Amino acid sequence: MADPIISIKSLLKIYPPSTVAVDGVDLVINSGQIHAVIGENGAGKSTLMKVIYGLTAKTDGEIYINNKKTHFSNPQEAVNAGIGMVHQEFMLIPNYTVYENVILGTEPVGRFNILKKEQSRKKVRQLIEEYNLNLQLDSIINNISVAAQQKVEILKLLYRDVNVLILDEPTAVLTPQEIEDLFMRLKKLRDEGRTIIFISHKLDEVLDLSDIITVMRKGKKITTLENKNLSKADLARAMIGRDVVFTVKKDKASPKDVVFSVSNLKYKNEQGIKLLDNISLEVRAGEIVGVAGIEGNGQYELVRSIIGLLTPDSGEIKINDKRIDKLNILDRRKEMAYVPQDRKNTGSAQELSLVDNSIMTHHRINKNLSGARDYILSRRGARDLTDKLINKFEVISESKSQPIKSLSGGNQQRLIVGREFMLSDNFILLDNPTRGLDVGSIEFIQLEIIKKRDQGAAVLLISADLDELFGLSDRLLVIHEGKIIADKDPTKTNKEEIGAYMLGAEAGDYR
Amino acid sequence: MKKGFILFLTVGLIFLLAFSAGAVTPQRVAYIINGGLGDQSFYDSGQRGIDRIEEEYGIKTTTIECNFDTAKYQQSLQSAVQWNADVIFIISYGFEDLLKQYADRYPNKIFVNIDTVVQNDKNTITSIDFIEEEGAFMAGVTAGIVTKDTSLEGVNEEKIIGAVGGDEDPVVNSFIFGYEQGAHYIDEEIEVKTVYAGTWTDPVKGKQAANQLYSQGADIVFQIASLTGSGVLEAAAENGKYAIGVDSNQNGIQPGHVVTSDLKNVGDAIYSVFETIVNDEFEQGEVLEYGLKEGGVGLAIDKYTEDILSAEQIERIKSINEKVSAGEIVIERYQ
Amino acid sequence: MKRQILTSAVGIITALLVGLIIMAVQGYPAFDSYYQLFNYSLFSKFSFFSTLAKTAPLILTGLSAAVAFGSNAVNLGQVGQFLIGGISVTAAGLYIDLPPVVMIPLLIFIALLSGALYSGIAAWLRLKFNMDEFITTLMLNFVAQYFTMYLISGPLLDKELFSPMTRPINKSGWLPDLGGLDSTIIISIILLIIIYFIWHHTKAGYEWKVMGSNEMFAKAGGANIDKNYLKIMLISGALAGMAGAMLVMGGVQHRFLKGIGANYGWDGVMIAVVADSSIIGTAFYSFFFAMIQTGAMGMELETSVPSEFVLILQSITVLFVVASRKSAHLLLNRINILLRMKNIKSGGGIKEDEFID
Repeated sequence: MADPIISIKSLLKIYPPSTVAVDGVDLVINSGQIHAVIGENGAGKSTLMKVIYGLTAKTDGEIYINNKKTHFSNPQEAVNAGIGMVHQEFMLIPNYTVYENVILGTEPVGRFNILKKEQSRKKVRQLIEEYNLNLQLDSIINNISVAAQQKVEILKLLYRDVNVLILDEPTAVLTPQEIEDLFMRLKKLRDEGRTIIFISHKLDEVLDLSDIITVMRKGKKITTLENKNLSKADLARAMIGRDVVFTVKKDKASPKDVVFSVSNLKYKNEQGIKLLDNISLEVRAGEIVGVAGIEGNGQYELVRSIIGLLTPDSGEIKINDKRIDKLNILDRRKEMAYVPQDRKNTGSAQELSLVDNSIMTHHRINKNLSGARDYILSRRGARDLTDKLINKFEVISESKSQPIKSLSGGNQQRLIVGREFMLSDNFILLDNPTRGLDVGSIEFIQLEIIKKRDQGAAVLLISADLDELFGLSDRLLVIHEGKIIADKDPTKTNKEEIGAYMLGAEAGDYR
Repeated sequence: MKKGFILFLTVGLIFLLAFSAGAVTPQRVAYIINGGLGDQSFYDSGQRGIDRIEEEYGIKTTTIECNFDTAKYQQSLQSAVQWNADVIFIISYGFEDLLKQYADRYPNKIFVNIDTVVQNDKNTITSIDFIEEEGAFMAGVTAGIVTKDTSLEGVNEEKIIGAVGGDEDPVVNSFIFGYEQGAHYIDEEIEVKTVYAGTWTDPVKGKQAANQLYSQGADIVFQIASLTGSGVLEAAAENGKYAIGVDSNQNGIQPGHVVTSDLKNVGDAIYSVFETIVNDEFEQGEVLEYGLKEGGVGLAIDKYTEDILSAEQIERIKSINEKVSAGEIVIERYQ
Repeated sequence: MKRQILTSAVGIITALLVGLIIMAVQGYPAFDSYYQLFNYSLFSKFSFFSTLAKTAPLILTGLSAAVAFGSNAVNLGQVGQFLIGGISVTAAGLYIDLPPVVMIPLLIFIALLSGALYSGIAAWLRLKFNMDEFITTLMLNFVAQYFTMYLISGPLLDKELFSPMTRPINKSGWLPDLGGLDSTIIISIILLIIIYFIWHHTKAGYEWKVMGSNEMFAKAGGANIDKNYLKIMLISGALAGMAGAMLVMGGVQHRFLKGIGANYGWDGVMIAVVADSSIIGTAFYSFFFAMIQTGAMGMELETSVPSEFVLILQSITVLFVVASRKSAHLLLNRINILLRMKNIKSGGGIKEDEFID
């Protein structure tokens, strides 16, 4: 019934030096449908869309738009051809009004370059009414909610009259009601004949919304299915590639004394939004406490407060009954290991060698890294430590002096995790330690985490990956809008229940 | 026949070469200046002397401009020495110390320093010293004649003349000293007012200084300020007053207002020193003084002057000039 | 390291080749000109010595910039710190007279201290008021220029001379002349070794290097960013200050004169950029730039190629070295991708651990 509006043939995208993000994908998008592209983090969905949209250049392959071979070298060309994209991070100017953001770049001008304001205001207002967007033309972007900002992004595309809308994980920042609202609107757009490409890794949403579902895994297209009689299990199997999510083996935890505790931690940002709302939690020696939550609910601020990169407004953080929240970062680091979520920006210095990346923090703590005087760095000590790390954490590398960026992500992360695990047996703070890694590295790192627990470390694991949380945690907390709203035994709950909490359900709401 | 001619030529050539090798004529002359050419005055005047040497003696010359870049001072001397210059004429403002070091290191080379006196330990530097007082004396004489002649347009009753100096340094002070003597030779009552602009390169400051002097009653202002001085000449024209140029002939810059210019004939001095070298009359380490008599300094009197001053006035200036040359009038030196 | 040297060499050679073409097109004898350029900077004792004398301050201003840039601190105030170092030593050298064994170390200390204090102003403004040192260091250059100009044409002016300069400092503060070789190069080499040691063999140096590559990583790893930043700025300023002092204590003039050290400050910045803030690279390029600057005038004398040509040569070097560093990188990436594509197309597949997003 429908005509192919976008078709892609053996598309290949390699990020230098050697990261294959999209691996020979064939895909047909028909007009007038909602087409979901799903996959785990790092499956290549976003990259695929960026290539179509002209944000990044393809390495090889062909793209046809309306059966014509096309290549966009920038998003402007894509928009002109009727294809628009709403990114995960909005491209709005914070202190401009809704109207100004919408018309930006297409300012209608009449004679003498005078802005023909009335005409364009009328058009924007009509669109808002037509799609029931509930926006005020003259609100400043900074002052409206995230959901409203997303609506502005969509409005921008409607104003430019695009035919194909690409939405990259649009629900990540929305509340359930807002999601419902969005879906209603998207369906209306589809019914008008527009095409929608919807990127997600949330199975419920996809099943709820889309007509066609394409599953991607590790850069490859696994399958494209019509949304008829599909179950979550079917999709999950396709997405993850096996029936059962692998779980690392672990024995039952035997928690001992409280090692790490946070009490009544509060933090408001400059806009007065409560990002940490009276958080209290404890981690005992020999247990792994997981923290689940939709991104942006305070996890980031919690981690930064613990590590010392952010000063909370009030509250206490203790390790072994010693307050650490007034200490400088180095003194805190003497008590804890920390694996950050972004290995490129916080976990390593990409340009520097494996040695330079291995000795961070150790250089101020480990006696073996001091030379004749305390201020001298022992090169031999540094090399020995690096060797030990490489061996123990099975880092595949050619030489200690190669820059860390020349390693694959998995090997980089092994080095980072190894560095941190060799620092402290006391308290370990993990922020998405396996995000975007290959299966082998995930398994290896998860086993190391359990080993640490069994040796008596207190582990706080913050993750966006529910499988990981269920696989590792001995206790599972849920954070929502800066509050800990649930504390569960993972063996006595399930993903659906935790998911409901993540969306803000009150205790007892679930079933 | 043909062969004989070639033989003759060859022999002649060998003879010529042998002869010239034995002669004292230097083969390479370098001209090092702290500033740059194109000033239409001091440095260019020197260059004319160098050009004349090259033309008349057919030898190699080169000019090294430092363009006031201190980093080039040492390099200029080092390069000239390595280039095998036999004679180095140098305007060494700002790197006198370097000149001394190189002269001591290379005592067989002839270093001729222009405009100031520089003496090294081995006393090998020859200095061309212009007797600024004599030129300035004649400028003072002219200024005195102008300020006393109230029949001239723009000249008031008061007997006030002015001078604008670039900076308060010994050379400028010599000028002022001679200028005052010249004016007082005409009339003891003439008052000389002096302003220092504090810069050699800012005509705006020169103009301000001159305006100040004219408003204080000066009829004529002597500029001793290089580029800054062009502002003085401009002010003269704007105020309907008079000025005297310096270093080169600036009479035509503001016709009808620049009465004369106190010339410094750097080129002539360079050429005449070179002549003494060729003629084997040269002595190392001497201070050569170039005054009115030697033609090193003197007034530029041309049609622009004649448009302003009467024939008698010009005649009077010329006769005083002769008296100074002949030593009948003795001018005191500064310092 | 090897790759660094390789790309630098490629850059320099390409620059020299391009220079060759430019000269040839203009009708100059290109090969002879290069010969003369080196002849006047290397092939005789005194020309080699004067190249070294020029290298000495360039190493220090280059290091000053390299240490700052390499640790993510922006010090563009070499010009000002240079002048302040120079004038401080001059003032001290005019009014203090002690035996050379005490005098010379004292003056060196004053040079380092005054330069450090001057860059310290910018560091303080940044730490205290979060003012961008990019702007403050540049502005402080002007302050130093006017301040020193005022001093040498006013309170410290030598009235005997004909252009603004001070009297020579007391002889006890003069650095010894080693048979025509200016001993400033020795001070530069000593400081070079010290900085190399700090950079590669101390914990602070390690943290600075990491800050230069990724400040967030250093911070999360426990490095005290503010303290390190302050130290870097002080060291950077001290080096530039010492460079300025060298021009007074070394050489033959022993005075602070108008326009002293004209381009050393900016040349240092350029050298650090070309050397990609590497310590050894800085020494290497300092010598290269000193060499072509020294030979320039001789080249002009012999082959009439204007000495300004070396400015072109310097610019081309900067462009080509920086560009070749980048393009060598891109080229290697490109080759990598092509190889991988071939592998994929031939059905070789991709190893699991090569996925990164």
